[in-house]
Amino acid sequence: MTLLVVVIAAGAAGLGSAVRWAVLIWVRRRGLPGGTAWVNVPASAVAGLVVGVTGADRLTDMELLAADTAALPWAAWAVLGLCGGLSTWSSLALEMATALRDRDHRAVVMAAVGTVTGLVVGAVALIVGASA
Amino acid sequence: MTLNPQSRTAAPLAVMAGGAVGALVRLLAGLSATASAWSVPLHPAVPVLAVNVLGSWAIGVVAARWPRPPAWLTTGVLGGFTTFSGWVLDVARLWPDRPVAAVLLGVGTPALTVLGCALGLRMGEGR
Repeated sequence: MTLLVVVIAAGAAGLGSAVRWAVLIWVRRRGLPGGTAWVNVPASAVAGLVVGVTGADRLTDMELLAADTAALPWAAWAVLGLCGGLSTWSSLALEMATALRDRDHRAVVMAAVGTVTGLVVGAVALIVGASA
Repeated sequence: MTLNPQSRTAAPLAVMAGGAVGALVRLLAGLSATASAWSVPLHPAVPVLAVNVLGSWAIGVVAARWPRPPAWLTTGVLGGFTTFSGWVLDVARLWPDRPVAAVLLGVGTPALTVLGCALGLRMGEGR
């Protein structure tokens, strides 16, 4: 059954990717700063909360995919699928690499702040979810 | 009816399909790399790191080759393939028992993805 959970998670990631596409177009049209942080921070918050609430923080991603309890496939679809697809490293790496290449110090700082924010928010969400 | 991926209605569908394919490869890579059939199964954070570095290299190549790369490929396939939230969770889950590994992953992922992307940009430019 693991494969079925994987395929559904991939579908959820497709949905997350379409949402990311729409959000980042909106951010660019408005001329807002932050870039991928607009999707990476909320995706990390939701992923941390779900993992904390379901007690899946003691499980690896792959144990999550293989779990046969009723609640955990939903956690796998939400965390590995939806949040995994909503968030991205490739576009963030491109933001950072081009900012460094162009000596755009402001963009470098923005990307670094967005990255650290996502890390802190995700970790706090996990702790909050686990203690809820 | 032909679907032009550049059209307004087809673009989100193309991104969705690309993201699903990218994520499917990410999940299967994770499953196969951490499978207990291996004599030494990898820690689950390793395939996530590898995926993020590989995807960042690929987006560099694509961005250097095409002035306006198609969204289904960059935002879709490569965006769904790589994951920021997965990195955050891996660091957070490593922290209580293996703080050194957590810090290494926390610092190593940004460093290696940016290096990978810079390498991809150079290779894409043909230098």
